[in-house]
Amino acid sequence: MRRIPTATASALCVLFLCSIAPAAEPAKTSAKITYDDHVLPFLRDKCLSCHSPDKQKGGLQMHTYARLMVGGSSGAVVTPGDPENSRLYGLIAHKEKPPMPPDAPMLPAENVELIRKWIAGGALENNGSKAVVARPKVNIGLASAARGKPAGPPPMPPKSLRLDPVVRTARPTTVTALASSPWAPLVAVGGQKQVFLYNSDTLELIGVLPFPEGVPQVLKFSRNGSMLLAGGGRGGHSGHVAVWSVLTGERIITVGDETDSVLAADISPDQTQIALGGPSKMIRVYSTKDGKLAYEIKKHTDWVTALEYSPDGVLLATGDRSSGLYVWEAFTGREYFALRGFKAAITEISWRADGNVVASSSEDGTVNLFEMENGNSVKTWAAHNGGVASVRFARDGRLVTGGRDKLVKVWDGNGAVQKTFEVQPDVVVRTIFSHEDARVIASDWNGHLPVWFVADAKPAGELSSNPGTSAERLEAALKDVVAKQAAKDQFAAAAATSQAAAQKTQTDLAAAQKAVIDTAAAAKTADDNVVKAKAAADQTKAAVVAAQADVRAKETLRQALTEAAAKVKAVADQAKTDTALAAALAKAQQIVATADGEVVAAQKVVADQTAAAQKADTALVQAQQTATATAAAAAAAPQVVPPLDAAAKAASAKATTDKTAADNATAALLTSVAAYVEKVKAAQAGK
Amino acid sequence: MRTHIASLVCLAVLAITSDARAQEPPASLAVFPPEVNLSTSRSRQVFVVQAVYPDGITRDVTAEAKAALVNPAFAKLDKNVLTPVADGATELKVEFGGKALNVPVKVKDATVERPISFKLDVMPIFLRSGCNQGGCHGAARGKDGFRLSLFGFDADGDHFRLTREMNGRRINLALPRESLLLEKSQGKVPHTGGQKIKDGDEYSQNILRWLDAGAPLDPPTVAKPVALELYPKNAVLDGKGAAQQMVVRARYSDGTDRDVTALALFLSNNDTSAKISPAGVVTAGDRGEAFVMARFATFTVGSQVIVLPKGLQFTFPPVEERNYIDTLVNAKLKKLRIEPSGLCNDETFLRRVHLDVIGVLPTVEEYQRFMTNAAPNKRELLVDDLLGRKEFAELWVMKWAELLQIRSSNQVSYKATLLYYNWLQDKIARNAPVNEWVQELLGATGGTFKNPATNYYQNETDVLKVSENVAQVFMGMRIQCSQCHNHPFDRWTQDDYYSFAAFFAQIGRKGTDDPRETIVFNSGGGEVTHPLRGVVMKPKFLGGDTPDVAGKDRRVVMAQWLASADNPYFATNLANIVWAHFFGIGIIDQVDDVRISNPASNPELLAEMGKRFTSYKYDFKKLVRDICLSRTYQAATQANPSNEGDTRNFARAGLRRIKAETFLDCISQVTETKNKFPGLPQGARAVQIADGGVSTYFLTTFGRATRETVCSCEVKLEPTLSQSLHLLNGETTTQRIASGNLLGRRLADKATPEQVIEELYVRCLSRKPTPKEMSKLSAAVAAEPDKNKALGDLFWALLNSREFMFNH
Repeated sequence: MRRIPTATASALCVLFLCSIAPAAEPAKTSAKITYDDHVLPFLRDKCLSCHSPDKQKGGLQMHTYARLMVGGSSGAVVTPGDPENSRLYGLIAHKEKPPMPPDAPMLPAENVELIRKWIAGGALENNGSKAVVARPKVNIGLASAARGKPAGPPPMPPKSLRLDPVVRTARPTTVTALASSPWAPLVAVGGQKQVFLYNSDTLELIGVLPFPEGVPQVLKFSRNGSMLLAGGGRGGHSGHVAVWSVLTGERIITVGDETDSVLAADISPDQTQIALGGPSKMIRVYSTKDGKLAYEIKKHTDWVTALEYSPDGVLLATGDRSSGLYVWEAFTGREYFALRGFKAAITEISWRADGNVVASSSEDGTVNLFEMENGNSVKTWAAHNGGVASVRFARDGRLVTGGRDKLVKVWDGNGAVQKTFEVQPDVVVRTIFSHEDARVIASDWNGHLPVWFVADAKPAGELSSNPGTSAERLEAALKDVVAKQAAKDQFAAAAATSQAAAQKTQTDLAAAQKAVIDTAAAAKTADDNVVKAKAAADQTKAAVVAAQADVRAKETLRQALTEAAAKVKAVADQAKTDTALAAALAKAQQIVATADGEVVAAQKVVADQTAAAQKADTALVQAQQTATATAAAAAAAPQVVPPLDAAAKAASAKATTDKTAADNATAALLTSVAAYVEKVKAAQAGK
Repeated sequence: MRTHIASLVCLAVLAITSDARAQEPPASLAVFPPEVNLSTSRSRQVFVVQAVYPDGITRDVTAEAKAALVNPAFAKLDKNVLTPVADGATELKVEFGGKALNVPVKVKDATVERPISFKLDVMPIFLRSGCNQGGCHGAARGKDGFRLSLFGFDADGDHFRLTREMNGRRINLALPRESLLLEKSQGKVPHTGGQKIKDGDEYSQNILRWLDAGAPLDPPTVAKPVALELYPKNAVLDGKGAAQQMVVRARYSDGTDRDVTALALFLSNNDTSAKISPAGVVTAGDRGEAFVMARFATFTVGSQVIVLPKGLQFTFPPVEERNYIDTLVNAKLKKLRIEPSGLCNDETFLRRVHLDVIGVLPTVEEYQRFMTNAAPNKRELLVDDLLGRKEFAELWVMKWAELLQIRSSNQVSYKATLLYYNWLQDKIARNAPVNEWVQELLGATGGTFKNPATNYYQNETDVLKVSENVAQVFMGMRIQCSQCHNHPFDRWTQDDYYSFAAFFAQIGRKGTDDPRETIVFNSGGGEVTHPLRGVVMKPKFLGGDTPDVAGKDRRVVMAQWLASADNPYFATNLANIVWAHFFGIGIIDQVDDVRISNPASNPELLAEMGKRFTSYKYDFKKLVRDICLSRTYQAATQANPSNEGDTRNFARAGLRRIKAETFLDCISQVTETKNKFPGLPQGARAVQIADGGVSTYFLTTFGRATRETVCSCEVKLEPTLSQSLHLLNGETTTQRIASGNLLGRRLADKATPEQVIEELYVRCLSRKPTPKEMSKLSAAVAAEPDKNKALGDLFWALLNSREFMFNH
């Protein structure tokens, strides 16, 4: 694996920081252009001679704002916010026929521009007027609510979305808005004045959608995953619902003009309606076609806390803070069912994918399933002590819930618990499945967003409801690279060390094993030597005995000879002249001398042999000592082997582990680097 | 030129006189609080300097007094605020008008920051700003979807509601300043309650600090407030506009104290005389007396403020003081610079004392005898005589029967009611010491026939209601509020309430052979649990100890404490009930509304009466005698300029409408007609009706107590249209005059119209007609040939006169 040199990485980072530094230049706030102050004087000069109550040419009167906005016989002449489609502008700019004023050259460009700007600015009447919210230009309504996975690739946001949070806060706070795209690995998380988009597989931030209206309290993806809706606002002040196109990341509609934050909202599956509710106790349903209020429902007696369209878009279920739960006909707002069974506030509503069952959670601690034939409760169970905050259906009919007992649980369709995830530090506020129902994402009171695998209930990571700026995240990624590098180095070093250690223990083991053989051989030799020395000693001892016997024999012979010689001498002395006798005496004396010499020689042999025997004994003792020592060594040598063997095995195992760790660290480093590179690319793309 | 100079001189003189107070040296000087303890770095203490002048007037001289720290190394002085610098002790030297005073200042943990606390720093803001009062978020159902516990009795619940009830709505830890809690209370977004606190003020900062810390709930070890002090204790303000800053200090269980002037809620019971601003500045208004209170946590404490006209010159006239009552009443009047009215005349006294003590009017003979009696102590003799009459006992039996709710009902048979009444009558008639029979009553065990006192527990069987009734009747406390939340204007907490109720948790009841009789006994089992905390409450005397009740009848233990000198409220409460009977208004008014925020108008008098009552061995006849013989009781109803605005300090006698039963008896008496009440013989008096359930149209109209509750408001003395119409047109007047035929008999006896007129006056009004009345009336009677009719009209007119209807 190749490391990215730290210097390069930081250089990249610096480069990136430099490039994002200049923020978008704030738009110049120009004074309002209004009918009373700017347009009327112009009209008076040029138009009122024909378009006033006196003549009313073309049925158009322009002398008052109201009259002008009514238009003429061919309809409205001003579409606020859209000069191109305003007949007034078209005529005076000579883009439409007949050109106005008639039979005259085009008005001065600045006058035409004034009208264009006036219309573009919302066609305000006077300084106190507010621009009417621009109606959506595109009709997002679908011909019908398609069930199942839409054709084509699942909608994911473009890479060009901003990645810098609108607001970065010191700490996160409770996240009540959390939604998952039904078809794409895309999760939306409510932040402060913004919505964060995450990839639910990589858990990477992939976009930030500004929501300057305040705090999103609810997020919903449209059933086909192409739209993202956010409802929220500023508590006690104002509430709105915004809808973005997921594919472009552009806001397409903003509806609602509540006096308090919107708490519940949804977009109908055919995308023709947006329903919202909140502390006003009203359900307001808007048409996406023109952004106008379609109808209102006044039935709820307390704050509306939850609502959701059925998957076919025919029904709308809504719940309130005092246990009221209703199902309405979505197109008319007529009551369909009043669902009973709760004792406290409704916290969330979720339709099963087939549309036949509605699940609802309540502060009374229960989850209730209602069938839609007669509106009866078919199953109810106590899910979380103290209150259930959230319930969502998976596509296969399982449910995920979270509540005040700080737990998140996955249930089968009959209310039997399948998985319980680790307890959270504070109450759980929202729970969702990811698009393939493989993961569960929750939010707790502290704003933590843990992610788990459903299959084994193990943690899969965490999302942030307060991510850093892209620079911060880039830096963090870089830091991660550096840290991973350090870790990798450390692991590699450790692996090397343990490898060396393993080798050393192997060598030691081999040496010990050789020593066993050597000492055994030495012991054998020593034993042989002992035997030999013993034999030698025995031999020399025998020789000594023989020599001594020889000495004794020789001495005996010498004795006899001496005595015989003495007898001969005696005889000879008596017969001095007898030469024969003398000769015999001489001979006898010679013989005695010889015998003496033999005795001496024999004695010398004895002395020699004795010395030899002593030497042989010493040699034997030495050989025996050597034999004892080598035998001990030979006995000791095998004992050293097993521990060394174990050590060698351990060292080898450690070496293997360390190697794996080092490999993992290397892999992590690679991932980290890849992530970093990805972020750099994203940062460039998002610019 | 001269005139100019003269006027200049005049102005100068005026300036001097108006400023005279500032020049004059005070008699004494006081600094509040009397010692300053600063602990932890954010601690601060405001002090006030009060000068007391020889004539009793007090003045807030904090701004003018010279103050300096002996050793400024330990604390910092900024105007009248002390803040800590370093640990140690020093003194604050205060000088004014030639007087000097040293106040000890102790500084501890000067550099240690006390962690922000929800209960100690945030909760008081809600009380102070009015967020948790009954009309706002303190309502049982909250306001606009958000509820706080009433006056903050449930801080843990409030923490939950603020932080987690509506997750993600009320607080925002990411952007604390944009929390709904702050935006609403600061009025940044529309708020029904308007702007309560300002951005950047101490309250906002505390809430912000709490949010910045993560909106934590206090650890269980956090200090609790244990006492509250309000300074100064008294103030006598000189003229409209005079001001006095108050200082409030709370003491905590960890031994520290804190200046909570900025966190306390200030109230005044008399805004026209002394208004108190949210910052604790009392401003004098019209002449009068006020009790200004500070409320913090569960405590309410008060100080007395007297407001006098500017520069009032007053000397108390020499007024006879016959006993301790006069001494103490006059002492209070002296403080208020009020002169008592003169003594009432003999005729008035005769009528007043008859009505009050025995509930009947003096007869003509009694009138003659008393008026011609020349003995100097004839009033005393009369009182002693009246106290010995059986009507005295009957009147008080009725009074107690109202308090004990003697009334037949579904639970209490008529027979039991009668037995219960007879039991009570026996006690009162024998003048049994009140403490003894109250102990007997509250500890009663047995059948409701055999031991009629047990009916007390049969009238009301609900444990909580019984405890409330006992507290209200025998201690004068209305503790009902504390059933659901800590008492907003008194010291009683839910703990006190349920601990007291625990005494009544083990009352057993079982039937007998006679379905009308029930046996009340000590079941020895049953507990009261605290509704919020769910713990079993140990029996604890209201405002007293936790006695050992193991193996005992809890009621007996309670009764022995209740009707004894150990209970500080018993004797004074009974004394107050007696007092209110004779003056129409209690020393504490209403008599059963004893609470810190409804102080006695003359605490010393009440305390002395309680003490005397105890020392009389609870013989209330002696107490009645003391009252009747006092000059205060015998004062005239006519006001003088100094006491005409006063209603609470007994500077003159009050006008009191006669109670329904006595009134009917009086009408019967003067018309010589007889009544027939169910269960009583012909001619019985209305006072003798045993059963509260029995009534007549007249009695109901004139506000006879139904005895359905123990409230002193059961007896209604308010005038109504039906009362007037009944007297004008009803059978009680015209028909009784006719059926009694008093006039016919008199005329038959050849009495002259003048004699009859005089007798009618004495009979009805206990006085002779004035010559003017007599001349006009005799002329009118003379002009009418039918004397009986003319005199009948007069009789009718007298019965309809206010003088007859009222005890004066």
